[in-house]
Amino acid sequence: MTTMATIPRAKALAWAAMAVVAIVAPYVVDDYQVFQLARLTTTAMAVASLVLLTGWSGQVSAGHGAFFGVGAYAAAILIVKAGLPWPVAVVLATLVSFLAGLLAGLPALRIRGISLALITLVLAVLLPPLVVRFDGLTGGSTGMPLPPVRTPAGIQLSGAQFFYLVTLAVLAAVLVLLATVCRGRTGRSLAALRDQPVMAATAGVPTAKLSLLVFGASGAIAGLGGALNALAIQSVVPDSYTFTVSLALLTGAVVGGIRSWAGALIGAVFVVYLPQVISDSVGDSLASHWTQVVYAVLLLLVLYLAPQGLAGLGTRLAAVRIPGARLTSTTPRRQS
Amino acid sequence: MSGALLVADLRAWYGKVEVLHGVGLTAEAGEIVALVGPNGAGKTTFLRGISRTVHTTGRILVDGTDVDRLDAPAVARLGVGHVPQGRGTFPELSVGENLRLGSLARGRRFRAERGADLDRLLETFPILREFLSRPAGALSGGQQQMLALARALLGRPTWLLVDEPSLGLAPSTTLDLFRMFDVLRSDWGLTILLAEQNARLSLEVADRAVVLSTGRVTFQGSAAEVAASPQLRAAYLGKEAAA
Amino acid sequence: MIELLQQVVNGLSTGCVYAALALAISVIYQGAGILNFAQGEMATVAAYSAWSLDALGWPMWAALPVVFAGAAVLGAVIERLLVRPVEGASVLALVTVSTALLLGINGLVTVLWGTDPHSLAGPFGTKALSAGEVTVTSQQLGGAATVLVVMAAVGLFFRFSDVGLRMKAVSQNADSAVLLGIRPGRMRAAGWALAAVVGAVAGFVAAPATGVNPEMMQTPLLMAFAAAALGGFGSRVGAVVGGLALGVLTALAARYIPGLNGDLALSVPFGVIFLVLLLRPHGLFSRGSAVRA
Repeated sequence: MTTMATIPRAKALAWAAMAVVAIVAPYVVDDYQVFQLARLTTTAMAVASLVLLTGWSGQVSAGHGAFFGVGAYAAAILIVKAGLPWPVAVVLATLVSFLAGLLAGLPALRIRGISLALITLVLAVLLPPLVVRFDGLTGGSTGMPLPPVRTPAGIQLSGAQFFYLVTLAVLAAVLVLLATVCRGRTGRSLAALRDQPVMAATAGVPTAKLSLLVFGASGAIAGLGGALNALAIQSVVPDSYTFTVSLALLTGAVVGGIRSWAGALIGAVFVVYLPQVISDSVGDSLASHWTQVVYAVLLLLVLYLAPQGLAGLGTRLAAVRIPGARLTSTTPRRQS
Repeated sequence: MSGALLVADLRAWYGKVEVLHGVGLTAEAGEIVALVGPNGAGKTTFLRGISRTVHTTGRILVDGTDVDRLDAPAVARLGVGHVPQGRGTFPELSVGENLRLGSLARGRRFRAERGADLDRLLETFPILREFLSRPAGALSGGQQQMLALARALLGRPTWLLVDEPSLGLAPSTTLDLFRMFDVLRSDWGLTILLAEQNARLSLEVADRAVVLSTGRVTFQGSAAEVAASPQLRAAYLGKEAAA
Repeated sequence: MIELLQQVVNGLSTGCVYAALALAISVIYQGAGILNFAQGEMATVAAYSAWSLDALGWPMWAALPVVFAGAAVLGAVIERLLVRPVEGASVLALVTVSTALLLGINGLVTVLWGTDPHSLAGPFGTKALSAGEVTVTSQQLGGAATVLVVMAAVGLFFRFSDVGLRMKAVSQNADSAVLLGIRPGRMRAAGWALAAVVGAVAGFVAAPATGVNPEMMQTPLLMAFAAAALGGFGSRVGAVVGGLALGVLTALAARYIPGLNGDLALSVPFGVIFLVLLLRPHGLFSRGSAVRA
């Protein structure tokens, strides 16, 4: 029994340590690093939304950058054109992304599998030209600057520190919410939808409603991340939301661990920091292309060697070190 | 060409569960050997072991050639034809294409005889001639079974493994089909291994038979001996009835 | 009326490229159940290779066979090394491989050849031919003829050749195919090789119009996916007809629907994919059972 309890306890400890580091970090590192951390937390939301959609409900999206972008642009337009305060704009942007998710989820009622992935990919390809087309609203190909988020009076933090902590709190809330929902009945329904859609339907799982709702929720979370991300980088430009961003998000989710919330964090680290590391080593001009190549290699390696992603690999290694422990994964195994 | 078949100590697993516990049989060239036993006795796995479509341990010799190291396509090219359970036709290809695939089964060997072989078979199964350009999926169960047999024969096998040919067929069709095995054997020079749940039918056409029960051979002998054996009844009725 | 005809002719000409790429996509889909997101990138590699050989002074007639043979090898190697391990695995695994190929090949093309666009003159010249008041360039005609010949060859290959028949058998029932002495792995690799060659033809025909650059096949790829969706992913005839139809549709939409020109022409294939998959998920030409999940 001790071995069974060791892994959750080790996990809880790891999460606690991570939380402490995340809260202390903004006081230790400089504002630029804090800004990067805010990109990390917001990107992690988008990756987590993919974990929900693809890992839990089995619907593969190769175009989640579109929702990230929709959230970002909705927030930007509401702030810049409608003059709304940023928290209101973020909430509304989340709502807009939820609706976008529902819309994109409509085909999921008829098709599954790789054709669905294709639709989402096309959606992502289409976003930038659409944004450019409606330049009156979106600022066209040069995009729009966003005003920096100011620290409320009475709080002794820089703007970057304050906003990072906001995104951290939101991310924590999102992860707790997702983990809670997926642990219960909904989680079992999602697993059924993923592994045995026909059986799920006959067993009384409302598959159509569930598919749509998951798409909507996933879109909303990605959009929320996108909106906060736009506020963090203080601008929106179409180039930030090309379909390669979508593929990067999918890469992050797969490499981190497609059914792991910790994996979403690991994945986000890759998405945010890998391009930088590569840019530092090969120079700016070819950095994005080398990044793609590295993503591709990582994807294939993870696919062949560690299908549960790096998070799954970590859990497995942890389990190996404890003699006799048989539990290698906390996520349900795929039935074939 | 001879056509002897020897299987010894065949073991197979589904996952970690052993489902064949070291079974074997011998067939002389030109024999029809029936594998009888109830559903789940391991007949299909036995045949699939010989055609190398499941992993097994043990020895399988066809004409003295060790095949247990070969893969399924290589065994097929050696002359082991397998009509699988469910017939395994290609539903969206035409009947003609299905047959053509059969005649390709041994590569370039027997190439010169392909045309004559096809004519001969269409004579045996005239119904197929009418449907040559129709998709195989449009045929009835009995017609598909004939197609599957014809396709296997076009590969000019020395050994023919037939798995549950009666499945899903009307009784009269089944009877016609079983009567055909004797003719086919002599016309095509076959050694036939016939796995069939319906023991009465298969013992009628077989020379010898092997009784399989939950992965073990419980009896073998001439078809008549097997038909009269208590082991046959036991295999179908369970151990209590044998006592 | 003349204007309309001219648009239709132009549309058919670009549609040929979409059709060839869609054909490549459907050949792979039929064999392996995977939508190859990297089909366009593989065609781009072929176009760049042709450009490189051209720059080295190779005559076109010598360069093309090398390029096409190289494409076939590339296709087969990708299948054997990268796709084989996930054969029959989950949808996510298939999408992941497809995504990795798209990212990887696209990245490598730029790393190897740089971002500067190049131009590759077609072998058919640029002479303008007029029939009445409708104008066609010799490149358009030659390109269309090339694509049609390739399509006919692919059709004949699947109809009459032994290998083509074996490939069809594997795509329908691989378990049964092995009993007939067929090695499914080889057939699938052959499918990728064939698709890569057909895609390379698309790249080669497209290059004079699009130029040779890392993004040259992006729009054609989306159009080709839409075309394949329109025809049903597993239907080769459907893919070709869908490609031609989309070429015409896009040309007409760009001309007659305000705002649908330039990049937004992409919304045409998107609309088509969306509607077709929503209303008729098996495509317009395909029997339902031929379509995989």
